Amino acid sequence: MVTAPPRVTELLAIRGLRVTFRAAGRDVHAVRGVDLSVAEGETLAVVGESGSGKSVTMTAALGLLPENAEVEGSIRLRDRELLAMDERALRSVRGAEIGVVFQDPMSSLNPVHTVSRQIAEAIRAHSDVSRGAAHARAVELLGEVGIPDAKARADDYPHQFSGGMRQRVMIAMALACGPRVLIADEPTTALDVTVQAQIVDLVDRIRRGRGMSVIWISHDLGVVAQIADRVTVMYAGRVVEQGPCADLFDAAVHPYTAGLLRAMPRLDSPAGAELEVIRGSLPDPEAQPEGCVFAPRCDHAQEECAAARPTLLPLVAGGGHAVACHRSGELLDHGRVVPARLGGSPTLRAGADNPRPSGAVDGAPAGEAPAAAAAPAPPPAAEAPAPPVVVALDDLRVHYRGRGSWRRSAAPVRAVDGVTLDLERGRTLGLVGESGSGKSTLARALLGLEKTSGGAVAFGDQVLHTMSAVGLRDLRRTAQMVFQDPAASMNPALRVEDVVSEPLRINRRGSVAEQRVRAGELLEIVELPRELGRRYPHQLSGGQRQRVAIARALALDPQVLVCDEPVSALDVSVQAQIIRLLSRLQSELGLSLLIISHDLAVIRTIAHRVAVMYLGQIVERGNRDDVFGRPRHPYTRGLLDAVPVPDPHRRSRPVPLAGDPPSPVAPPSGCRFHERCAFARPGLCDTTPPPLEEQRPGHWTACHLADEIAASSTAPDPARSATG
Amino acid sequence: MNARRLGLARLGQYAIVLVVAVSLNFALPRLMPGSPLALIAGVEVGEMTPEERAAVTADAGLDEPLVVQYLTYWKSILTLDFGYSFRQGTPIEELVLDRLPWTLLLTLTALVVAGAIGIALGAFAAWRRGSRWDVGSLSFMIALESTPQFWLGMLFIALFSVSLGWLPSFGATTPGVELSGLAWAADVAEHAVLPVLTLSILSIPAVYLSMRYSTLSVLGEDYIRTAQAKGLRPRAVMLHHVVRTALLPVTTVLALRLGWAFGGTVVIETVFSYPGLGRLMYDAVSARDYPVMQGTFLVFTIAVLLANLLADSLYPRLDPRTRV
Repeated sequence: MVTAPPRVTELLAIRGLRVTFRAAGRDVHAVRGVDLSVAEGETLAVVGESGSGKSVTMTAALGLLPENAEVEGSIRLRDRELLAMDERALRSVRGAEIGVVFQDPMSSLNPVHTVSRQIAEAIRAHSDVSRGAAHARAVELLGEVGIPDAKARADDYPHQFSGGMRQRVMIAMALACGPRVLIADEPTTALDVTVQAQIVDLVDRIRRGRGMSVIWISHDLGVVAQIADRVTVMYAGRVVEQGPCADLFDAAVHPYTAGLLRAMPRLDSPAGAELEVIRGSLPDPEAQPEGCVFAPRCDHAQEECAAARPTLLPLVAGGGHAVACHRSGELLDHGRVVPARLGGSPTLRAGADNPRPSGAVDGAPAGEAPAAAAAPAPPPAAEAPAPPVVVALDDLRVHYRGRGSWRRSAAPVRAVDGVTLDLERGRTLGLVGESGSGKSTLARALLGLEKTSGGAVAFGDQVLHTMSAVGLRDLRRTAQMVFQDPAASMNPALRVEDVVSEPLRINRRGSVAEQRVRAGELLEIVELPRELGRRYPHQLSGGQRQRVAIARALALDPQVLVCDEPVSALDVSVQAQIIRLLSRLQSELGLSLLIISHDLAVIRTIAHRVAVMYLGQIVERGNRDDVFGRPRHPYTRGLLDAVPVPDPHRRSRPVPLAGDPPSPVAPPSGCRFHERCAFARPGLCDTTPPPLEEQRPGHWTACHLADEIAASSTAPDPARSATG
Repeated sequence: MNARRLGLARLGQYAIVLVVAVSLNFALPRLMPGSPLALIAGVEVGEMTPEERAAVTADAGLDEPLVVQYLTYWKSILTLDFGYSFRQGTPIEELVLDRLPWTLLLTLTALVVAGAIGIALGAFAAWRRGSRWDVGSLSFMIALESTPQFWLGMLFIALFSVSLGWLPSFGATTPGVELSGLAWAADVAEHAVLPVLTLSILSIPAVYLSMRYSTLSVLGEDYIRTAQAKGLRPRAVMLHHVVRTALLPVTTVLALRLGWAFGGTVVIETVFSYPGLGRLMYDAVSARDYPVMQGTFLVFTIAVLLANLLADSLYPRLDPRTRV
């Protein structure tokens, strides 16, 4: 219970909220006592990982929880208690006074109705206007959220819009009745970083224009730092810390918040800095711990932490920064000197007065990453001679047949269109680009899972498409893959040990007993206890499942590991664990890694070399420090600029890359990027495709104007100068 | 332009299917055991003299080489001349056209009734998922799905015709009575009640089950949550968002059943001695009456193809994602 005096401008206030789902005699405590509020015209960010209860809290505010949810506490909109309202009264609040934008705009829009109809429906649910008037208003709203040619596009269906445009439609719908509060539940998580920047800008512009309040739910601290006035941090159904955005990022007091900030890969940390890992995983949602919910994972936990629940108290009487931690007083004294925004500072880690509890005490199940086993992050730019090449792609092309009639085929989809790359032994190549750039197709082609249309994939002196079936099978043993969604890539009917040993069974390696022993070893390699082998995949946490996926990929001792978005589906604290695991495995086993990610900060943390892909082609590649520190291609710069910096003091809003990538069926002539490029020169960029040239030693760029752009650009961004 | 080309391509596919189906239709009766000669002549084949046998065979065109028989078959189909029944000597098209209205009366009525009830009950059960109503109706429907047609038909006859004497138990009209106007319509309706009832009841489960499943999956979609978050009334959410989208797969089920409707229903028509296509087909098969068999099968084939075509052209209207 916050003791700060309630402000008169408080618009939506949640007090002591508890939500328990009762199902089959088991209670799941999704929200265990939450206090938060948003003031008129303010942006409140609610930050938390999965299982923190942030979405459930907002669903409760809308009165949309399923029937088996038991809700206690209070949710007030101005002076009205929402939890006491009947269904009819709640309906008049939903959509009219509280608007919502959900995470995935594709699945959140009804595919069989036009977008204008879906917006008009919201208008007509709350006011008595004619169909015509509602439609006209819908067109206006679509224009307001930046849909080009809104009048013509209003009667299109959701699938005819791009992801970013769909999210704009969702926002138009949420704004339809002029709500006082807009709840945005992870609104940019499903979008590309370039589109995310556009949506963040749009919401903030609309909030200012309308004087509306925004509750922005997110796990992404970068976005939060850019947009929030105040931040509420949730963990396991409780608020652990809240306060003004700058206070929180400058001097996070709660060990969870501080840990989260340091676990997050970021573009402005010193290159090669290690990510800190928050050990363990979320508490059992069915348990109702008496003490602090974070105590089992906390380096500062003492006896009182497990015994009594800390209340959310302001650090300074009457102040806005409140923390739920028994030790906040001591941590504050130390914490003031913690420059959390630079990351990697050890101040909040186990100090002399705070010996780290031994593994047996912390109660965390498997999946805990021992901090001692930390692997060195990639070293700075390599001066050493380049290691031998393991896989070489030469002018690789993968074209899919387009949809045509039964007699003539349409133009092919040029998913990968002339890519030359190589993977070096024991090193990591990061591949970045927007969705649809052909990254995943490239990875599958490398593994021989995709029919190539031209060029070659060569493992040493063996060329992939000339190999026999037997040769291919041998080859697959040397190159393995780790997928984005570990849950979807495992047979749910197999035990974990069978999942891990399946490659051995398929290749008839050893007896059943030997395979089982090997499965146990593999689990230990990925830092999981052997006993976990008896469980089923659904009994594991997301991070544990991704470890199992890695163990399976290692079963045949491959030389190459292709990881397609290996941490995208994971929470920030778990991401750091997996990234460190991959680095350690690489240095111990000499693996060559190809890591695909849309998250540039992740790539910067783990990759030695980076390739940037746009519409099926590589536009820039080089050492990590060159590409991130001295990007030469305008697209690379645009991508980097679009990444939100987790620092509320640097709310630079560079013009985000406009628009969406063009279609890979008919790529633009000349430079494929010229339509979105601010520097494009007519008569050159739109006619002549720029070759990928080694314009600087070891740094390849496909841009006619790279030298001019580099010369004319303004002072280097501090975010970049921190690199290398 | 593109859409038209795609439509033409689809018609081409249907034409290919039709040719294959017609050819099978020609071949199948000839692959069945037993000779039709006995039926044509009315005596066992063994009792005929070779001359008699040859005469009968030649008369029916069965002595020609298969290729010639096949081409003759195509020619007759294209000229809408389906020949005569071996057994009754009546032109096939006359037989079929005579029976078709009766069959359609049963099957189409049952289809409409079962479709409406099945969709409503299925959507409602899904909406109240896990409730007593849902569990109860689901168990009942599964029991109904496994009920044999003849059994339910005979039960109704025993109950409504024999014990209660409310409704006639056989035929489509009262024999030997000349009626006209409303009286005739009432008589026809009276005769149709029991077969339509039986057929409807037994067709409900398939529609119910597919609608319930489809509604359940739609209810879990994110856009239903969006609709609720807009503040729509539950009825509006249910009608405009849930049922509207859940109907998509059910439409296909219904359209395909429409095709089957033309084939009549052998068991029901036999139990109620109803003069429909189903019984015509049954009699033709048991008598090895090739031309009648082929005629009825052909009607059936074309009806199924047309129903598929209907489903194909209906789907893009209902689901904009499938439009070209």
